[in-house]
Amino acid sequence: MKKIVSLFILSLFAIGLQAQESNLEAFGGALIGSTNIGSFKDFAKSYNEYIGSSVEKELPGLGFGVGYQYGLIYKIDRDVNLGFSLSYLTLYSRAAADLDDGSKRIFRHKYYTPLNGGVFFRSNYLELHLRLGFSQAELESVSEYPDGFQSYGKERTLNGVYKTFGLFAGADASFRVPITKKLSVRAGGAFYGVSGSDYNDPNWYRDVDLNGIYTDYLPVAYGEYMELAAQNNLTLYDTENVVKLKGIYYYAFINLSYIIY
Amino acid sequence: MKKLIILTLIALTTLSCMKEQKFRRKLSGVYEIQEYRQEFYNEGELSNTISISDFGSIGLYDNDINPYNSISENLDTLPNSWAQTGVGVNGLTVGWYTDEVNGETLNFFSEKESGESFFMTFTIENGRGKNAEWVYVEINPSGKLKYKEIWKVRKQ
Repeated sequence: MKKIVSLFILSLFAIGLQAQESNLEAFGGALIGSTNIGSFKDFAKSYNEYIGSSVEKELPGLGFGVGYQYGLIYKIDRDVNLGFSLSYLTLYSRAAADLDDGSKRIFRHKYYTPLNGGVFFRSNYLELHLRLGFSQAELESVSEYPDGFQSYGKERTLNGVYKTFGLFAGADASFRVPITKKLSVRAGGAFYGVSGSDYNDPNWYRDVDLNGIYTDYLPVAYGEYMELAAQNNLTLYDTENVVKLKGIYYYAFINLSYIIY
Repeated sequence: MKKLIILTLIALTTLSCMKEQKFRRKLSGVYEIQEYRQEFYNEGELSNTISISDFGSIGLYDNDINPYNSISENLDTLPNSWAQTGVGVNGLTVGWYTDEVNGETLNFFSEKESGESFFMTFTIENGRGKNAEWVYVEINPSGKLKYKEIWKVRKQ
């Protein structure tokens, strides 16, 4: 996906070279933000309740994540405080439970925006950036044993790799501190909303006709799920009651930006 | 600009399907199983190890269809992990596939004519170069390690 963003960036660069009055600015930097997916928090709560006394450190929510973003802002006319942007951002977070048998249940989450376009407004040192695009998330669920080995295998329920896809809409507000004529630092905060569907593991328990045989999602009601699994009755589980990316999140960022021309 | 947007949307759709394909292509090939090691655990503590060198070879073919990629194998015996899960038992055809997220899993499966399916998953460790370890794990009812099977493989 990064190739697409790079392709876009190169195209903008090429288009920009043809327009004498245009302005192209590159930016990139670090961000820290909430990845506290509500339905994952509910899953964690039901997981902790179900395993009860065999948990030494309970599974928390996904909490805060760290990541980075980069992109380009293109202005057709450098005297107009309005531009178009293309950017990519990613946020990594992790949650783990310690079990009393010495093993751990680990969830590693990666949220990213494969393609993200926007409109950029600037007024002196204040900036507003509205963005819209696609978003994707991947959730690795592994069991770590006392010898340090991390297994994706199905010896434990819900080990595997889950993914989901959605739409992204966000707004950044920031202030800019010029360092040189071309270089500046930009810091601010952002809110974004995601319309995410279920996290599912598309590569588990399929037959040769590509049909899923067993459930391949993360259940919010873990206890109920495990009871149905024990009765070999998982088809009765409410497939709407599963972990979904959908929600409103926020992050803070600091970027360096450089005026290319 | 309009053309650029349309082109990008087409490329985006194509690339989203290519991730699994990328991992599948990377993983496919013929592997020599340099060591087949079985580790037996008692209440999570290693109690016995059996190791067989030069266990044979396995070919993971890329049939360009996910997940139905076939294999060829020249193994000394049916691996215990397959026997435990029903994969390849009684001469059943074995297929393989990997995941769409990071390519760190290797799944083998078989299906009976009746439609009954059998699966098992290896976790791929140190799989960046030609050498890798494919690890399969079983646990006891209390969740402690019971059995680990490690295939040390080298891609030819």
